[in-house]
Amino acid sequence: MSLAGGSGGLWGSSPRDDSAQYGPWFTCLPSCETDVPCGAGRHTVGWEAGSLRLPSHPDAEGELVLAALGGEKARCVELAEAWARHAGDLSVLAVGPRGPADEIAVGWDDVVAAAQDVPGPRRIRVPGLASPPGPTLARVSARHRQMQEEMLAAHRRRTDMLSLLALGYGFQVRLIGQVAAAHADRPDGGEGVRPALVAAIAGRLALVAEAWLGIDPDQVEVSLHHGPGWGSAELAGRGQDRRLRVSLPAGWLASVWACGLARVGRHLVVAVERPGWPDARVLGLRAPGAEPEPLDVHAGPDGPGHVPHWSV
Amino acid sequence: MNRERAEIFLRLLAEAGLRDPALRRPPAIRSPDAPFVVMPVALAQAAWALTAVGALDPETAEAVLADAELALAARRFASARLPFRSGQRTPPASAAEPRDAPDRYVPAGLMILFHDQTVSGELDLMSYAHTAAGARLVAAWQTRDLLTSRRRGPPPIDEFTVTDDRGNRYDLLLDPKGRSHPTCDLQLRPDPPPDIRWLEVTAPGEKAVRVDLEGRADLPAPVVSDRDLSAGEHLLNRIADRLLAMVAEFPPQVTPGPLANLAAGLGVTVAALEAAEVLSPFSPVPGQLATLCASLGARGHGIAAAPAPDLPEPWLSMLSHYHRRKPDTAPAGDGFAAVAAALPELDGLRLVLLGLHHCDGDTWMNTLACGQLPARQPGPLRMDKAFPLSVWVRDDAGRWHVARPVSWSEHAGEATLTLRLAPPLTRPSDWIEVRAAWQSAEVRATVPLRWGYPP
Repeated sequence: MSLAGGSGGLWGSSPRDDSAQYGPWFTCLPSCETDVPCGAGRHTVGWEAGSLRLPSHPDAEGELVLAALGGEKARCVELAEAWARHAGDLSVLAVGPRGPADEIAVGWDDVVAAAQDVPGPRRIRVPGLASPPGPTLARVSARHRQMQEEMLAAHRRRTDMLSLLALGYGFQVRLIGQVAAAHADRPDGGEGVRPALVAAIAGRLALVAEAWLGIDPDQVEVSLHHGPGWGSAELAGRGQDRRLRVSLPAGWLASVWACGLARVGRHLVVAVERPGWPDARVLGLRAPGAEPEPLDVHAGPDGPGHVPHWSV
Repeated sequence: MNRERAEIFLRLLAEAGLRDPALRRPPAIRSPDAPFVVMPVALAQAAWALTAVGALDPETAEAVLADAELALAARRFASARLPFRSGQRTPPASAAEPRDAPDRYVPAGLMILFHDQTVSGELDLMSYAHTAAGARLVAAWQTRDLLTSRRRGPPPIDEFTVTDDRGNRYDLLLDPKGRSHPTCDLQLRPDPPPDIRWLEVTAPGEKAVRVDLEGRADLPAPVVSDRDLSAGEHLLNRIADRLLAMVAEFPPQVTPGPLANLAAGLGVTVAALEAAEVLSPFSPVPGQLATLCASLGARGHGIAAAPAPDLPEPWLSMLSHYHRRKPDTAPAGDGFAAVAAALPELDGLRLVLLGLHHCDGDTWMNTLACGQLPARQPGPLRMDKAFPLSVWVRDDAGRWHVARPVSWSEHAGEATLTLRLAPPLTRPSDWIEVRAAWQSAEVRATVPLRWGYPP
């Protein structure tokens, strides 16, 4: 299958930095698969090298044409469309998992229930007292139409998000990586998206830092690092005033966290020096304020949800 | 104002909420009608506060809340239907057609009696207003069933006749416009000329009652003075207004819940305003708010600032009222007062007083808000951004009453607005001083009241 300008079964390809010396952000991630209820059976949906694959739908473009003519659209194809729609959606960062222990309990039953819960048209109650009926009715109708359109858009967004969550942890982190990478190196410095990126990193780094240092997640402060170098990390204060202040580039979320590399052994990984799978070289911090040291890491086969578990 | 820091603050607050085990845990017993997700109160309040001061646009705040809600729901309920936040907004009210004549506000102070075989009642005309949205009489009504003495619905307005000094006839259309029961606007159709001298209103079988529209109330000039408040301080003052009004509506010794809910998370609201740089860390207002919460017995507010010893005079007046041994002094009897006073326009908004009425132990001020009205934004504090004023009333005995907006209806660039006084008047004051405070200025106007009473 080939859609959206992709090649051979690819949907929603990740941004690729062709100028990068060692490849794009997902170089440290292996491919993964899951089963999805589609039609009367279950189909395999896969992810490989930054793109979604639908091996059970070799002619998805043809299926889309048929769907446009009134035919039923396959769940797999809907899913791939949702993936493409949200490949740059910052809400994915806000809703998606913060770590392997952050269990998200959305199944395909939830997706079906949500899809059926379509906001239907409601009768307009027209206040019939003093206001002139013509303009008032028109105004109420316009407002009602606008509300209906907004509700339908919100309904589609919710169904999309639930479908993407139902794919499971491995796909969720890969989509998070894709969204983060899409916004990581914007020429405008992330104007308008910085708050979402700061919160996305903070929410995930806080849990990593808790495991790394035993610090309260609420005591972790994050800022976005711009420019050369990996950023900074320092620990200050004591007791309630203790703070871990970390500055990282937005790309950390994609190339480090989404690849399962955030903490390897006793190190907080702050950058990937030579990406690869199952072997890579990363920069790890032994302690806040220390200089990062290069670490050769290896991915084991038993990572949670198709995300590698790395060791030094 | 730092909008980026404001959004970061809100998003980080949502992150903290997601880590809260209590919020992630499904309730042990869940009724089918229970909400799927309970948003952290502090998050909703912070979003509201940041939007109210303009540090966040409503769409961004709504998006953050929607994401937080979905994130919580996805973690709480397996195989359950998830919540649905539509994100719908109320479109701004359309502007009225331009009108050449100036707006006209005239006090009325007339009672029209009516009765038939089953119903008797009265229509109390408080004022006449003619603006771009049309002409109307602001009125209160009382009807009683002659057989049962029970109250009945609105008077039979369609049987009334209305004429002006030129012989034109008008229909009266009863429009509640969100005003509190039993007040309403009686719209005149068609729209009368701007310079009519009087109207005669006649109930079926009764004598005509003439409303003199040339009378001018002799009002002292309102006093306008500057204020030097930040947006955050103004918002906190309005929250204080709401707290004080809440005590009158839900006495904490009887129903402590509403006051506690209102005060919960105020510390986060203060922190959000500071993060957005619309509230100085050296501002005295958070400390005053902490003192107010303590005086009202509202715990769990979480305000970090040390309680301030000096409180504004109106707050002290209301606190002394609540702390008296018998604060619920018998309220004034039912009645209405004729008022028509347009306050000076400030920050693009003008408040027009169009009547005061007292009914069933509550006192209501009927007003019109004209000008640049922000979009409505009801919030978790039961406050509305669209009414960005702090309004207080001082009676002729020197007691202060906070005037809280309880209902309003926007149409054609103006909002029909009803304010509820807390505590209610306990006697018919001869005059009131109205103090309407914007962020940058305040207006004080002394308004004589002409009371009318049932026979």
